[in-house]
Amino acid sequence: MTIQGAMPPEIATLLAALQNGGTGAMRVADWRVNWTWRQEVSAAIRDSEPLNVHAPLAVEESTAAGVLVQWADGRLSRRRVERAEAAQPERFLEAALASAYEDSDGAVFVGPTTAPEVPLFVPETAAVAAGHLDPLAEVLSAARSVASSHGFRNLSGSVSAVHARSGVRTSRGCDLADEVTRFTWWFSFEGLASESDQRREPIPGSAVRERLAEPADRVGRLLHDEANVLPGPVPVLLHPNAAESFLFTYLLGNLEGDLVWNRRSAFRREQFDGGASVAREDLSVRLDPLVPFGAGSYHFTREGVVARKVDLIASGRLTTPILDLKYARRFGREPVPGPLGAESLVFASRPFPSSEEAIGGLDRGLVVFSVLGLHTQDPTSGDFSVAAPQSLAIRAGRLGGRVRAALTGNFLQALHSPDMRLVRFPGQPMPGILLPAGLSVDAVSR
Amino acid sequence: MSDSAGFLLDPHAGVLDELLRRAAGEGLYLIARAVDRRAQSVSVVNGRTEEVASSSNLGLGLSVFTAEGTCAFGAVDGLAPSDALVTFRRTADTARVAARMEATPTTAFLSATPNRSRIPQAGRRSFQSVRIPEAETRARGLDEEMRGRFPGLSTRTSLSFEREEWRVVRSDGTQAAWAVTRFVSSQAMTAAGSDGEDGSFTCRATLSSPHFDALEDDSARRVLQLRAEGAARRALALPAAGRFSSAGPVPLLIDYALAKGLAHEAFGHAAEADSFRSSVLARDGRFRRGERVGRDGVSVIDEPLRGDHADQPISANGQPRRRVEIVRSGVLHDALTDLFAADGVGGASNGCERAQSYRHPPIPRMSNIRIELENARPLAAPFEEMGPEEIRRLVGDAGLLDRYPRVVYLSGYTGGQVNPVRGDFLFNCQALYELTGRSVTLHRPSAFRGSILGALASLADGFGPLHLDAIGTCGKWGQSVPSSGGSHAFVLLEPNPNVGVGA
Repeated sequence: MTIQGAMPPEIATLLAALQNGGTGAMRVADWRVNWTWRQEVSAAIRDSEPLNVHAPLAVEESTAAGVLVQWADGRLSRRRVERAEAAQPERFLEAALASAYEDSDGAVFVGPTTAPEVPLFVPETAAVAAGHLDPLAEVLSAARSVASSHGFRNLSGSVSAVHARSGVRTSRGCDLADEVTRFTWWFSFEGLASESDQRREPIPGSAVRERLAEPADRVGRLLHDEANVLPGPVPVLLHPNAAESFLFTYLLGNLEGDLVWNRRSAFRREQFDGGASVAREDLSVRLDPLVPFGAGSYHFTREGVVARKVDLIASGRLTTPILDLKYARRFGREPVPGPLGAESLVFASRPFPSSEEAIGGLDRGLVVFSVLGLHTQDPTSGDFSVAAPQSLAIRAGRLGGRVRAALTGNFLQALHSPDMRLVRFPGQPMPGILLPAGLSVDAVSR
Repeated sequence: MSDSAGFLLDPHAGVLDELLRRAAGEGLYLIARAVDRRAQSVSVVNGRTEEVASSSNLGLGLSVFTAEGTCAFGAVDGLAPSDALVTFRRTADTARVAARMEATPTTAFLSATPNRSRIPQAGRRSFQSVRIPEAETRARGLDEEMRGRFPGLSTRTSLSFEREEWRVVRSDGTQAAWAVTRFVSSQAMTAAGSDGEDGSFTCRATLSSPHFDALEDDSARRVLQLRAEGAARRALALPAAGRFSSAGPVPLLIDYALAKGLAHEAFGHAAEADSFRSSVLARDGRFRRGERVGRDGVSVIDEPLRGDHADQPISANGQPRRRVEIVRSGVLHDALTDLFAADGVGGASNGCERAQSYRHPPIPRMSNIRIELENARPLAAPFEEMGPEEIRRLVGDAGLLDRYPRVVYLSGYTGGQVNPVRGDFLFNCQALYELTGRSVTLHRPSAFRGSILGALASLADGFGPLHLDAIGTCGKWGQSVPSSGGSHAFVLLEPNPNVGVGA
């Protein structure tokens, strides 16, 4: 991996101290340092005021490191520091030793390894992060023009550019380093419809306008309440933004190895050994963090586990938990890196209908664009009870007006339904999900 | 130097003073924030130490204003003079660039009153006094106790210790410093259904204090134990519980943790002055002061409480933080304003700016927010000893079960969310109990959602004294800060078509 700049000097100082092995009671046996240097600029608009004092044009630089130390007596210390403490290794060692604890399974240090050659760095984005701000202004201007052309009174959102270098070094010979960029925006119209995009390269204003066209049109529908909404079970089509939230809360969230091992997940250890069915048999979820310039791609984890493709759910069956080094040791399996976001995942199912086809095939239903309160749910149960105030009715295969809905059901059970479908939405990398009738939809009038 | 007695950032005063001199020399207005944050935590899962983690953050955040009032924000780790000067230079240049990007100017800082105050931490112990081996032993003991009392539960016990110190200086001579300490003990209990098909349920109990040695106090340990036992019983009972089906508006009794959630999500966010161009509690950029939104005797109040989990005595822009009566006896009265967004309520800043860290620009936020009702009815026992059956008797004695066939009681807050632009809110509970004249029925958790104004209008009765130690983390505009609050032990909302629970 070619790195365009040097490691921050404070990190080099810390590494040198660890390589020297400490002294006396502070004798270091093994260590791992994962460090990050990042430079970021961001610009925002709050309630149609660009770059106001609550959302100003912002510039930031940071250097931080997460350090795992195994002392000569076998105990471990985990400490996160920024540059000031990294530059004072004696102070670091003293503070780290004070929080040492026993955890034999946690003492895993990766040896020499090679990261995949996946390009994730774009010099033009790094230039923005360094202060060439015109691309930020172009994105803000594009969003404002869309809002203006639709007569919206309220526009909020932000755009940012990040240039980051990071690395993982261990006492066992791991020496990984990379350099990445990210260019991200999100905007919301009238507090009703929002959209976002993330790439490695600067996103041109034309692409922003194109991506915002659908949510801008959606606002017009959401401003008109649907008449004569009847409560009761109807099929629910989750827009990709809502589908992502559900999948990460209930499916991906329950795959974390520490939760599975400690019986704090919906899934049990033996279910992975036996490849238990957790979804319909044509549904597969694959981690793919190796897409060149992919927003969900990366080279290695903070522990030094290199990125690779992994089947998480294959033909509806559990294949592996997401395992850090400690839980990989406990499970007796290889470590399994997790996703950075939906962009790291590939969903496979029987041929996806388009959103137009899915909506056209429903006599009655609901399209849910976002939900309130998913983070308040208990993912271990699979149960959900959420508000979906940004929803549109489906009547006779066409979109209707706004429904302020409440949804109740069990997402894990819904994944088994033969009527569950993944649905393609134009311009969206993540599929939506058509959930079968059976969910309770309670229309709440204002 | 012991951090319990003094201020660790004092030695860095010269760096901030030099930045003020540079700003003055360039005709710029500067607000500089130095922050020192230290944290340690111990987690024990099913009797084994899962992780001990510690962190240290020291850094600088700068808000630089041009003479015309355009602003830029800059941040850097550490307080090295050379880094601080480079960051100032870059931020100052960016503030000038902001003007070319049609930035929205403000010169509200010109009317600010300089503040020179120093408020030390409320915690009696220094951060350095925390001994991780002792904390680990304590956490394992608490975890084992729950596992022993409730076999079959999966348990997680965490103790966290945190100290934050802020120093804010401004071009008008403001020199403010304060420190806060936070200790949180939390326990989460997960129970699985007997056949594995009923799902698993997790319930939590917490205790917070400014004192790192809070659990050396017998009464504090007893409170945590009672809360944890209640959570464990709920978790064990939930797999066999059914879902609640609402047949329309119902009277809702919520505990004080949920009332904190209601006050925070439904009313507090909508009263934050940076959202007055869109909030349902504002019109045309001005707070709807004087409008009736609730019944007589219903008040919603936000104020910093010394030693509280969300205490911040001075704002992140250096202003003293004031008590704010958002709703006074049913009428909108005041808002969570800051130095830059006070026009919407008549020009007074209540010093409500908070920031997650030196890396974040300050925005108006809540501290400790509560719902108060006049003439609250007394409780027969302390809150922690009020089980569902005792609560059924409480509402029965108040005549509620004569007026309504059932009262729905929501217990245990798990978080919430609001859209202040549209006025929609939602928050969730750990358990739902259906109380009737004859029985108590447990149901699975169900969301409490509706419209802000509908909920305000429904607040009707309070039961018991004020309890203000419900804690959480508030996320807004990409920043997370500690939050807290509460109400009387229980609060009743009369049936309202714009407020719902279940489906």
